[in-house]
Amino acid sequence: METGEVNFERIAQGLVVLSSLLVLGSLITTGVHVHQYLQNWTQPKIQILVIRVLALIPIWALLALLNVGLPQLRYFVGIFLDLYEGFAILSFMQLIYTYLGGKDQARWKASGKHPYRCFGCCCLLIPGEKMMKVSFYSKFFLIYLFIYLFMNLISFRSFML
Amino acid sequence: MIYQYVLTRPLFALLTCIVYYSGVQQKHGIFNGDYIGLTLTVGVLLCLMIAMWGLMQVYRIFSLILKPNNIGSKFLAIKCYIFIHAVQGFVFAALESRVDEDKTLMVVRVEYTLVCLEMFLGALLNKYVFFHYNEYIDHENEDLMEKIRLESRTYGNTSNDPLDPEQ
Repeated sequence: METGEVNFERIAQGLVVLSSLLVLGSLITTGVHVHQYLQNWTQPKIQILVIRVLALIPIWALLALLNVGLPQLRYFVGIFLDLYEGFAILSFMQLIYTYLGGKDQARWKASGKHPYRCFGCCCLLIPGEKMMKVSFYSKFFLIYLFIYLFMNLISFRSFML
Repeated sequence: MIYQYVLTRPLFALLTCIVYYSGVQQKHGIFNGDYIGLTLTVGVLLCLMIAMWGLMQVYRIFSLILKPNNIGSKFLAIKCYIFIHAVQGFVFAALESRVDEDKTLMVVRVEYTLVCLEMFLGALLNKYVFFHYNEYIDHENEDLMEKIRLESRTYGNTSNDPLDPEQ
């Protein structure tokens, strides 16, 4: 190796060691945390959902470590990362509904709230409704926003190239 | 609004996997002249924006009702994990298209080392801030248990189990 040349292999090894230590740390911390939950297992229905959300950390950490070691597999491993992300969101929403006493209770509690406007007064959101009611003009606004963002991205891309 | 992200996110990941491994897209990254990677990334980001907005509205509606359950910090945690993961993926995908082909893998390694670091910090934050187990402690019974323990020590019964029904 010539002087001044960057040795990527050694950097890669260093990154693998560093990530292994970080993953070990996150595994231990989450393990201790889950153990504390198990020591105070007073609301099993809620705590099991919290633990499912907490499990996101070790699972993502382990999959990230796999990506550091084998970066060629990143697109394949990415599917599992995203699958658990979806599962964690589902568990989190279930946790909120459990706190509120079920989906029907949640809808009933939300229906007591006043409707309000968001997205620059374009969307009227009615709490308690199954679907958000979107006014006719706001649909045009959303389509415009999508095209505007997409055009901006294209111009940003040409700027980068 | 939120549930669509549960389905679309893995679906976009699967599409990306198929596109890259089948050889449809040769180059890595998103700003490299191929529109497939860019379109998939824009799709993910749009779905993410809608899901984040949905989560925000749920918090806005139920924040007062759920205040005793300390839900604000939990919302913050879940939003941080999802948002940082997506934005970091976007930034590094943009970076991948800027570097040479031989350095692409190094960029991926750095990206996921950062994810490991974030997960470690996330585990610490979960433990002490976001999902603290304090709200699940049965305080009434804990006081009772402590009282029994103290009494048994006072009367010299330390070697015996204070909760033994025969005593």
